[in-house]
Amino acid sequence: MRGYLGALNYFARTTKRNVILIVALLAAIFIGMFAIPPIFKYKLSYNGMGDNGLYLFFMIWVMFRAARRDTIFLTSRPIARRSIFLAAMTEAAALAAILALTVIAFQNLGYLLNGALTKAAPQYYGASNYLAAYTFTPAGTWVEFLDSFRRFLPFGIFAYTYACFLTRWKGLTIGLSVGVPLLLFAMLLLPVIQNFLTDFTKVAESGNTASALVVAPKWIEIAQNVVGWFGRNFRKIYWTVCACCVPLSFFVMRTTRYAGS
Amino acid sequence: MTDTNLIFSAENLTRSYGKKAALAGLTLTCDKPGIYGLLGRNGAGKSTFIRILTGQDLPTSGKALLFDTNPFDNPAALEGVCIALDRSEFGGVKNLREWMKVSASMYSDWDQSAADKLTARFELDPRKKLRAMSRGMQTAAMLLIALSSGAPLTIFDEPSLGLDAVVRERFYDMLLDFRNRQPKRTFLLSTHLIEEVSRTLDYVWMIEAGTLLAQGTVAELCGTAYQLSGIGAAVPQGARLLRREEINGITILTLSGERPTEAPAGCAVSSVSLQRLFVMLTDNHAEGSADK
Repeated sequence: MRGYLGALNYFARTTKRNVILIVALLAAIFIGMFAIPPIFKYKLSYNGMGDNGLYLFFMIWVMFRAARRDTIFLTSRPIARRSIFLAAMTEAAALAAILALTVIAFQNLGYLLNGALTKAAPQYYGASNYLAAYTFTPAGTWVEFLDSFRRFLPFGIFAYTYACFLTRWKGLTIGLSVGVPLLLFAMLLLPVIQNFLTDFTKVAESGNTASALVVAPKWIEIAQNVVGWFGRNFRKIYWTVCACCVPLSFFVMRTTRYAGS
Repeated sequence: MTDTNLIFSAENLTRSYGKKAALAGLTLTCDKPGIYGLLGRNGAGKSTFIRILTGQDLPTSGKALLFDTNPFDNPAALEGVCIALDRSEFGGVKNLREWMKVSASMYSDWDQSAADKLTARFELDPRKKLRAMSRGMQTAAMLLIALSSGAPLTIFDEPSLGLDAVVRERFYDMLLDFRNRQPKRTFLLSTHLIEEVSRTLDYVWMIEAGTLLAQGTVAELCGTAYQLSGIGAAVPQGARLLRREEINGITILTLSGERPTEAPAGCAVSSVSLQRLFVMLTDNHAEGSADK
């Protein structure tokens, strides 16, 4: 228990500084967004701070580092690996919750401020804020919170798992993460192109060029079906992979011999 | 931790990295608190043994026990250990102040008043960034954390790296002070600076090429060898020559065996320091070696 608490304390202290940094960064963007229209004389089309790219990048960065630098430090203290892993997972959940709350805070603050400024200076502010209008209800806020949390947590776990694999089998992981998508792409697309070209040549040789236009959609349809299947089952695939990543990352980090440790 | 007396042990422990054996059948036992020295040359296997003992690595074969249990991924056993590493590794810890707070949550017997005293004694600034500190200050910070941790087993891996002579002596004095005030603690010093630490050690393990070369108290080990010097000094019967040296026509023989009560005519008998003995036992390629 001591090891877990110690690791958790360490994660909390190191992450706290970065959370402060990201909130300060978002606040600067927020202030800048509302301060600039009167200066440059244009009307703000405010639709909320719905872009979660920065939050996701932050989540991935923190969890990536937790699997490498922080784990190396903590194993050499020495703290048991299961304690470090549990603390890292707790950190992932806590960080996802903090980021989700930050999303809600900025969304609602933006909605309130935009509403007030629209009344005060309608020439600069007043774009419809449909995103925040939806979230600025008790139910909407909770839905938005859970939705953000749902997005952040799996991304953190994916990043942690990838970093565990990268630390354990660096060459193999890089090779697979580049090679497999390339292979899939080649497997999917090359036959499509080859068959399309064969059919197109046949059609061209026959002199009936109008049929070539019919041939192309046939093969594009196959690709569409594959992508469509992934699209329809995305949530199931996403959560199944996420659930598998938790024990997998533990078994990988448990048997890793960390450089320098 | 368990209630048994065993603090740690190694039983025929081996660890290989490819074809190279870092540990080749190391066997030793520690069942009594005190200050222990793990002495060996660079690459002798000291750090590998510490890594296995503290659950950071797995042995190729053999067994390492910590508080009578397997240390690997064992929270109960590892909670009783603290290490001062031989390298500057601070993870995401910013300064000494933050490190002390993290350590207070890691070690159940953490002593903040001792940490404060040691901060002053080592002349450290708790707010200064750890990475901005000199190598000596970083080492001092690690020693401070290890001493204040109150961990039943405290390990120092090369504790004097970057420290000046004054701070090194202060550290050895503090170590003796902690041993006297906290007699249930065990301190393990892994070092190759033997002469300096010998005054603090209760028991010594000398390791070479991953195996145990010699063990005993400093007095016991030093009692196994002596020096005979004089013009034309010869190896007495029953003694084993460790090294022969000639200085200004005087022959100096380092011998292992029982020290004679009376020196042969024209010769003087003197004792051998721990470092001298260690060099004799481990350096088979030196000038004047018995093996040459």
